[in-house]
Amino acid sequence: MKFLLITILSLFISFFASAKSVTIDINGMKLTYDKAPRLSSVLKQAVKQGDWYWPSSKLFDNKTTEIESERQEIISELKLLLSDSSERQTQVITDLLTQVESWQLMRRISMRIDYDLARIKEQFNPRLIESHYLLRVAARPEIVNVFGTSHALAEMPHLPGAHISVYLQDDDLDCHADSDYVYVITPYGKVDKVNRSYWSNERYELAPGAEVYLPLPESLFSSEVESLNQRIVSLAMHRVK
Amino acid sequence: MKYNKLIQATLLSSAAVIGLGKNVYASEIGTWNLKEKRMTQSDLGGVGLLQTPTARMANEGDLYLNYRDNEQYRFWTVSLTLFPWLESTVRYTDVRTLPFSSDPGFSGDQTAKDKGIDFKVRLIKESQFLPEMSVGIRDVGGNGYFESEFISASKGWGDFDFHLGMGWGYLGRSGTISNPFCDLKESFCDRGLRDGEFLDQGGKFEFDKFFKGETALFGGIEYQTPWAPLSFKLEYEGNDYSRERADQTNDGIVTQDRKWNIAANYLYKGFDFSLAYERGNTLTLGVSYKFNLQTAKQVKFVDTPYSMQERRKDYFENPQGDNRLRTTLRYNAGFALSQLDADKSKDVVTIYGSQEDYRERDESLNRIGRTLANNFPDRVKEYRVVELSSGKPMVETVINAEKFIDFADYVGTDSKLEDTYVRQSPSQESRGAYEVGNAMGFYYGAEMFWTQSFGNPEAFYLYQTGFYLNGGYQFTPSIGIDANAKVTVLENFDKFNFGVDGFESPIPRVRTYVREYVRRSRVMVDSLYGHWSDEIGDNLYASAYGGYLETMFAGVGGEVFYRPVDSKLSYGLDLNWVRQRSFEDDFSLRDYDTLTGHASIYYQMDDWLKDTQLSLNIGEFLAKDKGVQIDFAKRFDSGVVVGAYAAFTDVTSQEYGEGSFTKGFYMSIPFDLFSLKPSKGRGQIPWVPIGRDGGQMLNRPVRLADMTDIRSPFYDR
Amino acid sequence: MIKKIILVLITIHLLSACTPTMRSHYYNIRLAMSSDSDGRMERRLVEDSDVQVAFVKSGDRGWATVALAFNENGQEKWISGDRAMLVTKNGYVIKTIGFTNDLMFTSDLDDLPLPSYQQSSTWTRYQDWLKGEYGYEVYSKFTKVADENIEILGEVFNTVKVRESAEYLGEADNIRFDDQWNNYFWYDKKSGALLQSQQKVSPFADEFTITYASMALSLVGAK
Repeated sequence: MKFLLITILSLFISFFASAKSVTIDINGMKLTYDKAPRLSSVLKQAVKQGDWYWPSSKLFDNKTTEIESERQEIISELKLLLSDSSERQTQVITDLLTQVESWQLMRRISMRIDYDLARIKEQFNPRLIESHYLLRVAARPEIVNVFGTSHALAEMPHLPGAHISVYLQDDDLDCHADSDYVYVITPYGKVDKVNRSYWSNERYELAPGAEVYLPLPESLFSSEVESLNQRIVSLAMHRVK
Repeated sequence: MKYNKLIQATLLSSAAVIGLGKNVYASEIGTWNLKEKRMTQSDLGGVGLLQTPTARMANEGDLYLNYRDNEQYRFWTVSLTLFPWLESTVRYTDVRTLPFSSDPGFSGDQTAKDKGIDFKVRLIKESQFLPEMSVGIRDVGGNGYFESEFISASKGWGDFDFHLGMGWGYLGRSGTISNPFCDLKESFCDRGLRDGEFLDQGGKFEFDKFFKGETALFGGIEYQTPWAPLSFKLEYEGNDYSRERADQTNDGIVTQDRKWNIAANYLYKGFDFSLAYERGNTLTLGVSYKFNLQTAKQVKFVDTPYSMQERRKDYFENPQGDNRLRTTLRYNAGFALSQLDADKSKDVVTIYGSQEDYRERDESLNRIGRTLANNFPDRVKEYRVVELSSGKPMVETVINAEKFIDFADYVGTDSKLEDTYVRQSPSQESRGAYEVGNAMGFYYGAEMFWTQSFGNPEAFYLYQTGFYLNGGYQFTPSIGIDANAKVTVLENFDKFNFGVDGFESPIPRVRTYVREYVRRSRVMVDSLYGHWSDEIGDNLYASAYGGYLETMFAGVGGEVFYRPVDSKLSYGLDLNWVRQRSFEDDFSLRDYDTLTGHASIYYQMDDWLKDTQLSLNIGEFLAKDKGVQIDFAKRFDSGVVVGAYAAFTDVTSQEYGEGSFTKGFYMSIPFDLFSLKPSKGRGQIPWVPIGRDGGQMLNRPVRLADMTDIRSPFYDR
Repeated sequence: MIKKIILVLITIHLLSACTPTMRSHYYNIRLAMSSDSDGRMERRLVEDSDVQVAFVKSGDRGWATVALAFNENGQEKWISGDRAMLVTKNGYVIKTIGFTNDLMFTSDLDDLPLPSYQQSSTWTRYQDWLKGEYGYEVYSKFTKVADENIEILGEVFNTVKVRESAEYLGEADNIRFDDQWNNYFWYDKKSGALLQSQQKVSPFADEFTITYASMALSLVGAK
């Protein structure tokens, strides 16, 4: 009896809440919900597909307006920078421009996505109310990515227990070896500015699937380029491809 | 062993999951290679080698407590990194070879003590080609035993850290290089002090001596060994110990056999022990302890806030609703309810009262909102929270119920608490509905105090502790009488061997009878006065009071104060006529009277410097001196507030006496950082190097800035 | 952190206090004095419990009771009162949630030799840590060491004790003396069920002692 009542009740609720349906793309598998689902129920579907490495799972939604306008602003700033740069710099900035323009962007939700966590802590189990989401889940990535002002856009094997400088020793990778810092997008959507130079003994390890942004050379005396770097890397976080 | 129990107790939680008991385990898991960067402290306090500072800065909010001990000196220091670019250190020095004074009857066999303050400012951060560079001054608040200025550079290379500095004064006494400023300007060649001479008044910033006289280079190397707890230091000094407080007559008490000093530091359970061999002849032992004021927090034994997934919503239907709401507001949300306006026919619920437990606004509103949402049905669209202070509505928070519930239920990934409410002055409607009767009648309370004083001639540490018993009657929410009695329970102030210092003070003794007041009686009337206060216009408050206003003064006074809700700026004006109270009995008065009053300005400077407040008091002080008192406070993320103040008036430093001008430091610590239950209380640790009569303010019994604090709080927000 | 703060507590606790603060002091003292830090569920409640429960003790803290929230994918997920979680496979901790640093991932789970404790089975896997250390290798060797009687909720069980000799192979920046340690597992002789374990997931973690209370009582019922 009680069960029946609940069923009727939930039918009622879904009737009223069904104005907007939610579609979710899990690694290409499309799910449609009549009522905004909790993250945990989406992840429940995901775990049926395999045993995922949660730390590198990513959730995106389709609220891209702000992100796209940010991309346009970054592009125009890069062009501005291009207009008064040396020949060597020109190549670097053009490369970077091409990269930024080519990115496929959705809004990345910067939150730990983990089926266990979502089930035991409410704050990690939001109701998903936008019309479309993309959930990327995968096995543990055995690589890290390097992008930005690098000639060789590189995918490198992830090295266990290795300091970041080990990845960046290759000169080809890094045409701005005078830069003390690189930016890292961790798999769970946090941006770290990391000192990678010889004089620092602070340890920083790249997580499997981390993305390293080699920044435009920053000046000691002006924070303009630094803030542009910050913006580029923050934008890159929303990259789907 | 008690502490283990305390820790275990913190693991108790009320979250009963699947019928579990109340126990919880939050176990510690560390790291393998990742570690916090280690900084070590110098002998005189502050990040450095042994005798000399380096350019390095500890993390923002790092507070070090240090002790160093050798044959000639003992140093007790507290060093705080106020900002990533500013380090400040206060120091007590015990000169073990000197008596406190030449009169044993005055100070017994106690040895000489001194206080000092150091500052270090970072100029540039380390980068690939540039070292970290800092500039600093040492020992500016005391008698200048170690007075110096320095510029220092530090460059790391893996596990090594190299330092090179240039010092003037104590740090540069060997004069091994010529003063570069001396080449530029003649006046920099001579510091103007002869051998063995020390400052008389002390406490001044002697800008005219900065970077003058003998100059020397100093430096060294730090090495972090492959074994994490152990590091070494090697130091080359710029001081030759030719003029040393501990060896004033050059009897060979302090000599330098070698300019190189070495040390080993060993970290054990958070304590950094150091063993140094200095001057080629002196062993120095030390220990440092660090904690961080940004990150400090305590595990809490609290009820979890209500979940939106199991709302009851049955307040209007449930006969127990009122009782339950009152109880849960108090125990789950920390809100003491004094009035509730909830009408079935209205879609607004208003609660009046005050937050007693949760000092952070977000936490407070989150809990209040969840508690209300758990009681009221969805047709209630607005929760109004009117917070009272001194029985008067001070600030009203209007919570949009729908938005709030979505936020609390984690609907979507964008909602933020601050988008769900508006803070404003209490609306006409809420004021009109407020029943003043709740704010009238008798009240009483007790408060503990602890007064302490370091570096006295009679004993290094003097203290007095007991209660303030407070009681009063409120005739209307605006008019009342209030009394405070001070009851001393424990003290060693009976060691006082003089009441008033022997200094021939040309200015009225408005504060230096303090010893007479505090030792008069174990029970005394601290204050007894009538008062009125009210809101007299938009954001404008006024008060008047008369009677025995504070320990040392009686009189009448009044204040007006302007403070909009959540304004960065608030200001006011107060004026008082006061007469000095007798220290011989509770109620008689002395001859001295004066008019005193200030224009006061409070400015929360977040736009300039995050989490800081500047306060100015401009006017006439108790000793009829005119000038300004400046107070600067910085709040750390943990809620700890650290501040410093100084008064600059038309009293000259000669007239003022020892210390040269009124100045002091304070640290306000939320009890919440220690207690397992949340609490709004704070403890204040004042540190006044020396208190005299110039630049002293009346301790007004009614302060509108305090009364209206919740309208735009700085300490807890 | 807690310890650090308590040190300060001694020096300034008595500065001043208003009435609510007084109450919070009172609570502190009461909590500190309270000897009831054993959070193990009573036997009667364990028997009545719909879900499986276990007792966990970590480091020098008191016992807590945890419940089996999920048993899926060959993994047991135990949850505590404050919603911390221990994920185990065949009783071996492979993931944690809610600790000062969490074990996010353990690789090569299929190679875990437990619960079949053949002499000298070995296991090599690596671990990822939430605070930022990834791919650290651990090598273990499992050996049966003794028969031992253990007591759970007043019942005595005849068990086989298996020792895991673990070694942290991950390179260390510093000299460390703690890269080898032992874990122990107690299996019921008759049924082969795991009744108790004592394990550290890494050299830098507190040791967990886990007692499988519901399992133990179900064996008693079966006798």
